[in-house]
Amino acid sequence: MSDSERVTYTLTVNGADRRVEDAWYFETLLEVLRNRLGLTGTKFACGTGQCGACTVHIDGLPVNACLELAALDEGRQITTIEGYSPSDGSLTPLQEAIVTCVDVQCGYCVPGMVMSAAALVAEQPGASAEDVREGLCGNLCRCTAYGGFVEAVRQVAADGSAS
Amino acid sequence: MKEGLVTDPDAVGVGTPRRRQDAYAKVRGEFEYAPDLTDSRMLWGATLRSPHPHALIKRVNLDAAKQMPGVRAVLGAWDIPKNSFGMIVADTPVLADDRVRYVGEPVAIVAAEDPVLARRTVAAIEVEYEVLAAVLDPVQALDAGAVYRHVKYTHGDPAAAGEVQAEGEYVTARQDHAFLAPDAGIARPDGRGGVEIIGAAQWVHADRPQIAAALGLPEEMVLVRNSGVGGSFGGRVSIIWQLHGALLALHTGRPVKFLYTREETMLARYHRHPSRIWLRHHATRDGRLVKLEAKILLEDGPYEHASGAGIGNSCSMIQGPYSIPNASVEGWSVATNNGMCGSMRGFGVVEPMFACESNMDNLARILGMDGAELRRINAIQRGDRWIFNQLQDRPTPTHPVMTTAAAMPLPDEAKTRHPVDRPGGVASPARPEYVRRGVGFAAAAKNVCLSEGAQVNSTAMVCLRDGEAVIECAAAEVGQGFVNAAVQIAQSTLGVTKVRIGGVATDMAPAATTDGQQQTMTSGPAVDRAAAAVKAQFLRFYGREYGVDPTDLDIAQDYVVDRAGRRLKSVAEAGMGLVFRATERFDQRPTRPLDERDNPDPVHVTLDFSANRCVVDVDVELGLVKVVQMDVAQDVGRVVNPIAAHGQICGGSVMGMGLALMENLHAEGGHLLNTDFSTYLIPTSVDVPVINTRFVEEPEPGISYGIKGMAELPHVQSPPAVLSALRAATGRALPVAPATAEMLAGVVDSDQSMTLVDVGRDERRGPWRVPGETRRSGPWFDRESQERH
Repeated sequence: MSDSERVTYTLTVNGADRRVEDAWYFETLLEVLRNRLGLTGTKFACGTGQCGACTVHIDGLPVNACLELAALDEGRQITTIEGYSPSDGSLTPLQEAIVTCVDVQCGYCVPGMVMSAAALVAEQPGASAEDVREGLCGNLCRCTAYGGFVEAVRQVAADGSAS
Repeated sequence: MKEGLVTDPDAVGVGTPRRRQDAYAKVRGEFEYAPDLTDSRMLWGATLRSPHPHALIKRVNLDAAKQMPGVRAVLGAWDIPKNSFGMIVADTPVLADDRVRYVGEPVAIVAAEDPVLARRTVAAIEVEYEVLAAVLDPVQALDAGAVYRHVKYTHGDPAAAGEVQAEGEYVTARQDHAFLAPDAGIARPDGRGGVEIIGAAQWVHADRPQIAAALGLPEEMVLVRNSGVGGSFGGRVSIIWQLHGALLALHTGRPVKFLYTREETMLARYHRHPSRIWLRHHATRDGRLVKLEAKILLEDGPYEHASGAGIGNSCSMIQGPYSIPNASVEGWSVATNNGMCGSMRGFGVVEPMFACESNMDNLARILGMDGAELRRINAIQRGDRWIFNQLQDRPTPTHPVMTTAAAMPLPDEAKTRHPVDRPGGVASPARPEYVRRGVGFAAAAKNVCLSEGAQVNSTAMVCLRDGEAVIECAAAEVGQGFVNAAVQIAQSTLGVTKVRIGGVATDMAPAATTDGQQQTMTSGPAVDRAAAAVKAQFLRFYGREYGVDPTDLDIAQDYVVDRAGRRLKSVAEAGMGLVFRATERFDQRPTRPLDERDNPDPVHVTLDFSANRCVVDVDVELGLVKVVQMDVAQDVGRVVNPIAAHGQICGGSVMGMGLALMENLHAEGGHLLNTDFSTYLIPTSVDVPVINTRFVEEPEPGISYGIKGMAELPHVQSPPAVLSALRAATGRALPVAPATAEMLAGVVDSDQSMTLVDVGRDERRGPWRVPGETRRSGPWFDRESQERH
């Protein structure tokens, strides 16, 4: 262990400043969120940016947290599924549409799917089912056949509000 | 996608699309899965894995590793009380001792204060290997007699011959479960010398005895608790980290967390068997099947584990959903050093059904018959006898599923395609003039429940108090929807709407494994019986309390009602705070080993049937594919929850499409080459077709509500359906799954004749030589572990 490998910094997560003490400089945002800040709603599945389970928003854009060096995210607005979800325990219209249209099976992809879909709806209001399929192709789901997710997101895109 | 099918938060009881209650936590990111588990005092585990497919371990030096910062334990094979485990045959080392037999085999384990320190400690362990020749080819393994189980039987007259014969050899690839949540969990000392293990499991009651034996502990000192499970598909029988975590926890006195990387998840766990199957169907000129000849070779890994069950399933289900009077079947499960193989959705049945249905396409071509018609006239019926000498004595809606699927509307031919719907997807180079449409058809049968003498039973407790019921049942929810199905069953049986179900641990009565599409039809009846017993108790109490004959009473929608349905009193009020409780067990009918042909018991508890009419677009110049539509009709007994059943059919069909088109975990020189999601590709939202589903409901006798397992069959039926459509589009024989672009490209200007394509480097064809002496020694499931290599 070498002190030069350790860094301390502050991240802005879900609107609050969170001190990250004595972390490895090479820790990903995903590892810091899950292991140091206790925000386990963002899922680890592939670790190589291919499945989308760890999708968070950085300054409003969807990002695979497993590919993001946490120490470089100081000063950026990071939003996780915990920050996206209403604090009173209710659901956003997008989340409501997903639990309505999808028989959620294992559900491990769902937080990442929600974060990707929220960004997609914000960027492409009125997106068609085909647009949604293209937009969500970075989020793998092994249980379902995506059909319910696509329908849920299309409905919300048509209504024009995801959160 | 199915029009208008939505979950209903207010729906109650069997047959409704009741919304899963865990959906809310899952969509808010609050549902806790195994990788999310944490403990303030926990250490992190890490594993040193073999870099060689086969080698002797000459020397191990742990000195440098033990001096790494933050390390609390470094353990090897010598630290394990009993260094072997396994689901059916306990032949797998917990840690390799003097020899490694596959790349990724665990050699040593460490626990350290931090995940980075743990992995650095692993890197500091020095191991000297002497590399040995490895068995990398299943045919080579068969030649060498490295056989776990050899099945051979005939049915009817094995000398019978048909006027028309169709012969083929078919190959399927190694498929990974690719569930999204990696293997992970925590083991912690229980403070009394025992250990508690919390992780993702599909059968905690089978994990516990294996773990206890390896640790040298009585089972009572090992508690296995299920966490949230992020997908299973047959892959959570693996208990490798659980054993390692328990050892490290007992050694350090602290909780130890393991979290595998995706690569470790692929290396450490077993996969679907690669298969080679040779078949010859005999038929009359008008298409009646006369005889089936089959030789089936399943590649298994270096340890037997549960391999025998796979080849048993293959050698029975090779028949497909057809009635065949004569047969000669032989199969082998063989040992190679290409990594572990084991159960995956449709265990041992995906492979033979691909071969059977592909050869039925071949037979239809030779006969000049429509494939769907050939299947229909040969479909097995109730009262027929299977080639494994079992009477088909349960509902057999083979004709309804086939005719329903064939009659569903086809997609528009000349639809303007959005880029996501082109072969090759978005940004595809496919040129429209080279895109050809193909329509294929496949039917399938799958055994339901574990077979060949495995005991299948579940126990459930139902408790009613203040008008609310709680179910306790150790049936693993891995995503398939059992928790919701159990609640719906209790609601219907008991008549109350407020029903909850608790978690799963080994301090509960045992339940069946979430395996073999058996959970809902096994644990469901246990829940039903317990709920019925509670209801009877409650009504007896009510009758005595109010001077009414209990047989004149019922419970409906949370109220005690009389014969006219009038509400007398709410269950909550009438219960007076008392507890009504019952525990009931349900057993499936006993089964017998495949080779005990004179034993009157069946081989399989029951079987289910489906058909899939599949439509593809293929760019015959470049070999790019778009599966346009699947129309699936499936025999489901009775639907418990239509949106869940639809979801199982869609998910399974797409997983099967993955095997049909893209999923192949390549072994090269004993190394698995594509152990991440950039190289091991699974279907995305762009790849999926429109899937239309139809349920054929013929209630299963002897099972509450007529429920029949259904979750594996979609995966079984889908690969041959996709390949059948690809054959129609390309005119090629396509004997290999996955059918990748290089097998489909360059069809332009072909004369539509069926021609064999290259199946890769291995040019061997036809039945393999029968090996000499195998290591078979009595019924396979009773066998003791044997030395090999």
